[in-house]
Amino acid sequence: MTERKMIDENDATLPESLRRAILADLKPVKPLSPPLHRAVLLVPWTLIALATFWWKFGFRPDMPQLGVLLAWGFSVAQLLLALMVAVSSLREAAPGSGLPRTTLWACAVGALGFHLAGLALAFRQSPFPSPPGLDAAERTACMYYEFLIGAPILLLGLGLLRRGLPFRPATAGALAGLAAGLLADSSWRLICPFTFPSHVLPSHTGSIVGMVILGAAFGALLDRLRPAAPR
Amino acid sequence: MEPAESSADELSALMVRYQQGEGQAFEELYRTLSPPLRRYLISLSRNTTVADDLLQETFLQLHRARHTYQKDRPVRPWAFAIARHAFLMDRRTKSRKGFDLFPDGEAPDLPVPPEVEGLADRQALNRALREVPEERREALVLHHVVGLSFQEIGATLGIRGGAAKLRAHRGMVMLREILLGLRQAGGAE
Repeated sequence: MTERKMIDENDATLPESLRRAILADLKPVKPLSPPLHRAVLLVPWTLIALATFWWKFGFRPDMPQLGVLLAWGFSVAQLLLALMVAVSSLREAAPGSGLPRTTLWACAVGALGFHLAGLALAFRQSPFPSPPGLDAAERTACMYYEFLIGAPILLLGLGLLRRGLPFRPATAGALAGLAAGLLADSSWRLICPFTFPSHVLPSHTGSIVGMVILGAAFGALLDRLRPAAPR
Repeated sequence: MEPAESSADELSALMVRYQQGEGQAFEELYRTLSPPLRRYLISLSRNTTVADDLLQETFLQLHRARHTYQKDRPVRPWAFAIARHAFLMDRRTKSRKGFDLFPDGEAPDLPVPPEVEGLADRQALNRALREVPEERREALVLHHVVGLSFQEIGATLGIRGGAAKLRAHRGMVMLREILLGLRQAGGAE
């Protein structure tokens, strides 16, 4: 702690040690842009990944059965929900602007629920199992690709969080992970043709959950690596 | 008018100047924000020495995080959230190291809401306020002593404005009940 000073209730004299510490480090700073502007930075990689995998694998063959709404509509909606989650994560990084815990839970559960609803509807519309004997391999492949898309988004999200000062770093990181997972899945779900719960729950939803756990862990870690305040 | 009651726009303009590297703006901010922040920190830490240390820690953190302030948002919840975090971190460190969080003999006069000042003497008011659970006392002090709106308290504490109002209201009801109990006990003696 710095210089100790007894003052009366309304005394507002600036302690000399504090004045010196502040004036020694008084360079202009660029204020953070609004959370939505920063959250949008997470989208380009999702689109690049989608274009790359479409070029490599093509879109899922059951697109006609799913229809535009269930294929593209759900992906776009999931992307928008992911953006909303990213915004709530970035709001955590600015003191006094974090959302109430209940709102954050509602936002996270709602986004995950929407993702699960998309899986269920796709299964109902086009039940498509993975080839016999290749279940595990397909699951691993989907997890790999979802992480391949999601990991850079998560890193970018954590980088954006680190620019701020999140007081609940694990929560902010978990939300960044959820946003990354949902964004990754919003593009990969247009490529992967398998809809059976035995495939999509562990590989697609599992990747999102994995990303949430990673985000929470790295969020807490980033907080420990934060540089100290000037003295 | 007390410095703490500067308008939100003035505070916001000061913050912007501070972000641009103007030392004078920091000093003005300190003059405006330090009395209410100190009152808040005293009510949290119940110790003037700790509160003074935390006040300096708050301004150091505020300096480090000055880029996180966005000019379309109010300054006070931003600053009070930083102060609260400084207190919580300090408490966590002390409790890990096994320090006494509220050592005897150092208890200062807590900031008391003007609405109840006439109900008892200073000592009884302090005793009663200490009996109000922390989360209610915090909302009570922030609203009735510091003068934050419920919306601002919600933003500071990370809860809804309605929840902040409920906490402050319940805190005030409890404080009045305790004071009434103390008065009746005093009368019976």
